[in-house]
This record gives sequence, structure tokens and C-alpha cells, in this order.
Amino acid sequence: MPTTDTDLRDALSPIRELEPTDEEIRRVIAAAQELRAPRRRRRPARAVAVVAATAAVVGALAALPGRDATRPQDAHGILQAAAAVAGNQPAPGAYRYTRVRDVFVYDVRAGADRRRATEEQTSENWTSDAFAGRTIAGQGTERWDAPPTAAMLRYGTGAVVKPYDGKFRYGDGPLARVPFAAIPDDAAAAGRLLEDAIRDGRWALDRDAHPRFAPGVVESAISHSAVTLLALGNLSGPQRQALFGVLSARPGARSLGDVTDVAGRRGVGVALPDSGGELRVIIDPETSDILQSSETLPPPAPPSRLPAGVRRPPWPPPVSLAERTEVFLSTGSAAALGERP
Amino acid sequence: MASLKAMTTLDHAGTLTVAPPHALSAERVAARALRVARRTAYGVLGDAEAAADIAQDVAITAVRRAGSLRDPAALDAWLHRIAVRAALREARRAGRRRAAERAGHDPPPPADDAALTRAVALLDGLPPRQRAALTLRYVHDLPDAAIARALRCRPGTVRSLLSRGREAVRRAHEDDHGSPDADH
Repeated sequence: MPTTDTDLRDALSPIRELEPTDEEIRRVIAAAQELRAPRRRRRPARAVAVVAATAAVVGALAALPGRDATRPQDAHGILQAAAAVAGNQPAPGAYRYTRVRDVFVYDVRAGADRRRATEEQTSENWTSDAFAGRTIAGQGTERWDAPPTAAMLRYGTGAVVKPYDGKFRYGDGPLARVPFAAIPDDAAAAGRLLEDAIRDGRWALDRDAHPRFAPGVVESAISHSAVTLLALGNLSGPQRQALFGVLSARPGARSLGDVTDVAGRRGVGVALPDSGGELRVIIDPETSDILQSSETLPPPAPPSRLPAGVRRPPWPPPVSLAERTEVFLSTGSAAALGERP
Repeated sequence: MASLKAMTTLDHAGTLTVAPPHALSAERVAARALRVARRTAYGVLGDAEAAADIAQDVAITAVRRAGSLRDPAALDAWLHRIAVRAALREARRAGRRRAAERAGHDPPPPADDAALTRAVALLDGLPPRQRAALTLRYVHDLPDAAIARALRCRPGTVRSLLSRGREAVRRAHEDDHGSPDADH
């Protein structure tokens, strides 16, 4: 019975035999060098990323299709393998086509009553050399986990359920006006550019707003921006390779292993820290396409101290977004607006 | 200026290794950090993939910051501290998200190695700090004082964690296999 010191030491000895592989050691050193690459030394950082990606692709390609023990299962390995696959993709067409199902889950409160409302809408998108293009979205649906009260119905939850046909709508995030050609082919440079652009608001709709970012917010925005660009941006293979490199350099990434998305497709999952929550991404290891991204948002933070005389907003807020999921049902290249691959 | 102190490390067999100061290379730090952090995280979490991710994060941090370590001989103590902290943080997070994740994700695959599965099963159901204390003692062979530094508690607390951990393992074993005093 394992209760004495000797028994326990023997019983736990298999854990003591866990040893790192040479490949893991190389990957760690490459990632550490990528993270501390000095601003003006672009070429060495790129060389490290390429070496790491090339090493990782051997496992990734050998693993396809289906699960294979040789496929990287740690977060860094998954992302580096996806980067290597992305780097070998053909040049994009005039437009990137995506069919996306958006799912928003809201917490809705009225007095002591609390409900969850789920809104879904599917849209088709075409984006060209920037987030210029077209979106066609059908009528969405809304469902409640229990019948809502009259007060809850008055709040309303969002506007995504309305049909839409018009200019591509990315929204008003930090990438609203990003020119895709500006995204470098180098992971370290791409990460620096995203960070700088988010901080100075150069691509935001209101670039003079100069927000003051709370700790962790910029880092989350970098991850979100990289995932958005990978999913929706009409980018070249080397640019997509660089963006996977940006994600693989995010500290705190963790593997979700082999997972199934809400559409029933198999992929590999990675979770990235996200301002108190997590951004979960499912990747098709064969194509490097983003199959699904989802985030679980932390409960809304209580209002901070307000100047004297300012009325406190209702707390907790009557409607707050709890979860958001984007399922990329179909992606590909198109030669013209309205054309489907 | 680099420290002229030799680097000393206590390996899992209890052997004191003395290395010259220049041996604190990135490869050496990465290998040591991966080894220490994966074993610790595996003991605390019982999940091979989570342990690999934590080991990687700890190792990247270690490689990036090892240059600022004033005393290279303190590398192991530092690694144990950051590895335990990362594993306990992950255990807290995992507890919160476990139910939500199970819905959409496949269960974690069992470890390939049956002996490893049996070893980690021994710690199943124990609180993360007890698992950490048992791992630091019986996997890394650390004395009470070193465990206390890694867990940021008093040596007395370590003794209590170890005692309760051993007792929990004994009870779990009895539940599975019957009491040694019972008639068979």
C-alpha cells in the first residue's frame, strides 16, 4: 500500500521519468527568441520562426488525416504546425469568401428574474484587399432558456437578427480599416504592427479616441485581431503563417487537443487568455482554416468610482453578453463579389 | 557582469551536480524548466496536455528571464516556484471551466503509459496544494523548507499538507482494495 515515503516515491516514479524531447527544447528556445526579438532585427526573428515552423510541419503533415500521435498536441506545436500549412497555401483570389454563423448568448436580468437569450445569424462575406466588400445576412433567430418577462422583452438583446445586404461589416474594432497589404510576412513584425496599431488606433474608425487600455486588453486585442484576420482576411499564405506565429507567441496559450466544432467538424483546439476570459479557436490541421472561434466573457465588472454627481448605472446591467461564437462554415476564394467558391 | 558562482542542482536521485557558471545556456535552462515544470504540473493536474502547455510556458519564461537571475544556483528553486504557481493557477481555472468545456470537447486522452496513468490516479481527488506538496516531495525529492518556499507557506504547513495527502492516498487505496485489517 503506497503510504510510506518509499512506497509513494516508487508509486510516483513514472512521473519522475518524464523527459523533454529535443524538439520541445528547440521550440521553447525559438519561441523565447521570437518574443524578445529586438525591434529592428527582423531577419533573425523570421529565420527562427521559419525554422520552428519547418520543424513543426513534419509532425503536422505526417499526422493527416485523423488523430495521430506524431501530430503536435501542445498549443505552441498546434499553432506552429498550422503556420507551416498556411505558408504553403496558393495565392488568394480577388475576394475571400466566408459563410459564418454568429452565436451570441446574453445574460438578461429583470429584478430577481434571470434568463439566457441566444441569438444566431448566418451571413456570407466577401472581403478584398481590405475589409471592403459585401455581407449578405439572412433573418436570424432568438431563443430563450425560459419564457422572458415583459420587462426583458423591452430591453431587447441585439440587432444581429435583422436581415442585411450591404457593405462588409466588420464593426468598429481596431481592424475596421486595416489594409491587408500592410500585414508583414514575419511573425515578430506582424505582432509588433498589430500591437502598435491597436495602441495608436490607426485602423480604428475613431483613431483620435486614444483609449487608455486596462492591463491585458491590448494583448487580448492582438489575439482577437490575428484570429479575425486569419478567418476573414484575404491574405497570402506567408501573411497567414505570420499571424499563426503571432498566436503561438502569446503567453498562456493552452491546447484543447482534438475537438469537434458546433457544426460537427473535427479540428484541433487552442485556448488563449482573453481579458479575464478565454478565446478558444478550432483549426482544421489540413488546411489551417479557422473552423470556429468562441469566447466566454467574464461577468461585467462593477462600475468604477464615478465623479460626484454622476448617476451610477444599473448594477448588474440588465443585458450582458456572456458568450460569443463564430462558426466559419465555409471559406474559399472568389473572383467577384457575390460569387461562391 | 555574470556571476562567477558555480551552478549546483539537486537531481531527482538526490545527486548534487556542480556545473561551471557558463553552463547556464538557453538549452540547459529550457531542458531543466521543461523537466521540472512538466513533472510538477502533471502531478498537480493529472492531465498530460495541460502539463505540456504549462511546461512550455514556464520554460519560455525561464529562458527569457534566466539572464537576470543573480544566482544561477537558484535556478531550480525559482523553477519549482514558478512551475507550482502556474500549475495551481491552472488547477483553479480548470475547476471553473470543467463543466462548460465538457459539453463541446472530447474527454482528454488517457496517458499512453499505463504506469504513468496509475501513478497519477493515486493523486486523484486530492486538493491541488496537497497534490503539489506530494509531487514536490516524492517526485522532486525536495525537503520541507524547499517545498515551503515553492508553495509560499510555512514548513509546518508543508508537513500538514504531506500528512493529510498521505492519509488521503491511504484511504483511497483502502476504498479500492479493502482495509488491511479486514478479513479476506
